[in-house]
Amino acid sequence: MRRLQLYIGAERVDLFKDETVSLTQTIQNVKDIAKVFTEFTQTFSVPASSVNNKIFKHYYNFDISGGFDARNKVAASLELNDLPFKTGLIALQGVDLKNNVAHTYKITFYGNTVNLKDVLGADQLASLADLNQYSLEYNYTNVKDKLEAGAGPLIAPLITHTNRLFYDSSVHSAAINNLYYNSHGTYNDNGVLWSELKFAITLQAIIDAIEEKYPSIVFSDDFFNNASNVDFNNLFMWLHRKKGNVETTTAQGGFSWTTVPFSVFSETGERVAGLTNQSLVLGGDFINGYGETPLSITPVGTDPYSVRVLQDGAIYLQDTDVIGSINYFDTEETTLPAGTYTLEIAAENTVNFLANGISWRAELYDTAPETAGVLIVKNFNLFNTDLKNQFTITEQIPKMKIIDFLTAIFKMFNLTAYVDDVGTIVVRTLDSYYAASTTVYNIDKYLDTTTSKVDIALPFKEIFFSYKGLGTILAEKYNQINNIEWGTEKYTPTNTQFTTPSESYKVEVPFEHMMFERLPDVDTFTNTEILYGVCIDDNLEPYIGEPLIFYREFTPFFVDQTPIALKETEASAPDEITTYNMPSNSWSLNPATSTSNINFSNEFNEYTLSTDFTGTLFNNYYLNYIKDVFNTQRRLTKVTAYLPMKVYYNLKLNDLIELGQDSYKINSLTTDLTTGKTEFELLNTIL
Amino acid sequence: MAQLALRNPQFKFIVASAGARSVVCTVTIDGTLRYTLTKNLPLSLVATQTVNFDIAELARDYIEITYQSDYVPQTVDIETNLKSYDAINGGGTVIDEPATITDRGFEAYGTFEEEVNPTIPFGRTLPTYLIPINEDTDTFTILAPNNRTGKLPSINSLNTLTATSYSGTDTSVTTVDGVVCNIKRIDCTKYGDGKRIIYINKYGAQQDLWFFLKETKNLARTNEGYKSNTITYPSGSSATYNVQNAPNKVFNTQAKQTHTLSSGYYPEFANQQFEELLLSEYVWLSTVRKGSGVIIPVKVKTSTVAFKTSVNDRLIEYTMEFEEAFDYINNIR
Repeated sequence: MRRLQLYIGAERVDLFKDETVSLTQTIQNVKDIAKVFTEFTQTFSVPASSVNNKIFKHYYNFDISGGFDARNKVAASLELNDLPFKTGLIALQGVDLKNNVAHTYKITFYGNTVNLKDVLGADQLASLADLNQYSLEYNYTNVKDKLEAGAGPLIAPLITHTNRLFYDSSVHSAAINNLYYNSHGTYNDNGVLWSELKFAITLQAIIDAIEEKYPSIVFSDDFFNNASNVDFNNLFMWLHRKKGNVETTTAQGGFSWTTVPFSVFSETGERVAGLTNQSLVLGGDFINGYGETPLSITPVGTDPYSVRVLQDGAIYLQDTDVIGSINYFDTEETTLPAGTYTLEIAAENTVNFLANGISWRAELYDTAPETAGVLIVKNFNLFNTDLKNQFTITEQIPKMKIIDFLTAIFKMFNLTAYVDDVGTIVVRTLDSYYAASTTVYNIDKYLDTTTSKVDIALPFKEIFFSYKGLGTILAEKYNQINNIEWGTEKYTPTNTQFTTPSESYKVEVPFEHMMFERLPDVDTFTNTEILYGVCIDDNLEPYIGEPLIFYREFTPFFVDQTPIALKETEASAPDEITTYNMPSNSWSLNPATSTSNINFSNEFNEYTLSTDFTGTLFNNYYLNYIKDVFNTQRRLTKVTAYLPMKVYYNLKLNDLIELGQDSYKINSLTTDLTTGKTEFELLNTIL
Repeated sequence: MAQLALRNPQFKFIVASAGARSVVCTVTIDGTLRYTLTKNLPLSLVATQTVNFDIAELARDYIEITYQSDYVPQTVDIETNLKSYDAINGGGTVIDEPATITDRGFEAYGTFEEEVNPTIPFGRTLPTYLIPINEDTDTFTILAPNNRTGKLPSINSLNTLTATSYSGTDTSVTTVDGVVCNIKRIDCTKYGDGKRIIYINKYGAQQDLWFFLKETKNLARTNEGYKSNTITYPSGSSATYNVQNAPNKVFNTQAKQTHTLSSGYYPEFANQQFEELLLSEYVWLSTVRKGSGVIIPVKVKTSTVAFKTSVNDRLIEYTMEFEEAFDYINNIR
């Protein structure tokens, strides 16, 4: 008989005598392919014993000050026969009383993968303050520089937000949006205006910022954080928050918000707060009001200025026309809760702040008035507001929840995630996950042959893989002409239709998938080497869509890469740009180098106009799994086994199960932890 | 210092004066501040108002009951401090600050008739034994087999808790401050030496109750089973199976022992002891394992008792079933 031990922190929770704990595990379920984060939750009813009363501090008694805070989950762990089994979080759901006395506490244990959702919550990409290390002034020089940049996480790709571009080598003068650069002769007025372009950032930089903001999230270096994983590493997200031209806060308010460059002035006692990329990071303890967070601002002179405090990227406080010194968050009621806070100041006239003129103190008490620790941050140097058209990444990155961003990548690349023993979130493609194990468990002697079941393993008649955002002009036209969405894969083997299953299944990635355009020279009717994108809809209106991702093509693949003309103003002469960042759906423009691309189906490549780019997302990441699902020999076998600890404790979901002389992959398994009774759903391996 | 029965609600109150907006109650148990309770009043009081806090459940958690060979009751020291303030959440200035209340908490209970905030020894004067009294004669009497020693818990007039020992031949025992308890000796040699049940009684004290007549022991076994696949596939020959390898497997075998004890004939006043045994949450059985005496925890499995009277039943005898409070095969983890 196995015994379960539940710990909250270091305290062991009293359990009722016959607590049955059932654990369902699945890494990829054939019945719900797009579900990317496996979950483990278990609800317990635990007795209101003296031990548990002390842990939950008589939660039913709301008069108790500093009682158990059921608004937040607390760290917990499960052990089986005193062997570590699962770590996670406990949430207190409530208390049942009998005769007005506490009888049962109802709690739910959440495994650590769910923790990802809890940690990220509804936070947007815009809350990733770490991205602002790449912020820069939005001007001709920087756009040109990033258009020509061959490396780095920030580029300006040749994607226009409003106007279509063309290439006409017969026109030399005043042809805005004509990319032809005339290096000979008198007239040279062609070109695309720099303000048609926006910046883009690598998805890896976003992953880095997620890990920076949430210290509890550490991804493995299997898929993310892996420079050799070029399929992911060269992907960019276009920083396109609104349709049309870039609108910085300069454009909105007539003045520029400038982030105050804080540095640590002093830190004493325990670590109670942090400073990350000029933002003050307050932990969860500040929620309870056991701290102070006063902010003091003292300018030079009496010119009015405006103050803005961002909490996780969103405006938390805004104050305009401030004159002279001012204090914020200096009362118990206004103490800041947990979050990442950035201070921005703006003014119509330049306002100076002497070194240390702006001070922010985070002080946390153990039990007031005993202080646990104090962090004071100040502006180390003189700071002033000046007029900058600042391209702040968190202001320009598309609106998207971080969890949706991760889910989208997981869906694109058919990734699996699980938390390893040291808390790292191991992210791998499904194929590599299965390939990582060669362990086979023969469970014949543990098998209960009394009853078993063999079901059809084909839950769907067909599966669609597509992007949610297909509204840009060329993608839309592709759909109108071909009656199928751009990049979408509709999979049934050999395109046959099965009549038994009735439902289709759709894996939809919430990114924009643009069809790019290779420009022809309209004068000579020959193709140039220019691949570009335009973010307008089929009414030729600027378009917002979903967050756009693409590969960057920089290296001049061909000796005769076509130079383009970039203009600072309509009236100015253009600069000739000979190497520049082009967007693409394929990792390379040369199929001999790589066929990887982010279409689900094998489309004609916009550059080569061939179907040589066979490394689609479907072929590279889904085909092995999906084609087996549709195999005529595929069955879903359900058996029961009584697994001993030596098997159950070591069994991983990518291990193979052997019954008799047949081997199976684990689709799911549900185990009663106290008896070892395990209900397997197995998929026979197809060779 | 009051002796609180913590299995009942124990209300502590403050009379808050006009102008009070909140009342803060701190509960210190065994010298450590454990709880701070705050009640906000809806509006500033215009007249006095009594504010109550129930501290029993909070304090009871800290009585760690274990078997005590010295029979001195286990208690917790409780200090309750109540203050009213003129702002919410214990803010502003103190308006009322009565003296700190000092109590001692017991794993004890009063009955419905004993009304609110029951205290030990439930109306009896000190000093006294912390066991039931024969209310007809106002004397203490216990029954014990010949030649068996024991201890009786008591409290003196200074609230000091102690236990008084009696020898195997004593027919009465007297505390240092003169309280007498008669010991009626029973010859139970026909069925052995008698069986001693120890339990925490109504007073939160450890008390013996002897069962003089026969004992029967039962073992109840549980297990689970499944039909296993025993076929094997040796290389180079046909699939086979071992006839000694049972396909019907048994696992998770466990057992529990129960003891059924007969009390022998008790006088009618002893009904109170059987009632308290039935209502106790801590019961032990003194038994012999491998030739040595051992105290083991048991649960009273008998859930109802028809109280007997000498008028109706002439001879009063109870048979009660006790289940060992652990699995027979050790699986403590």
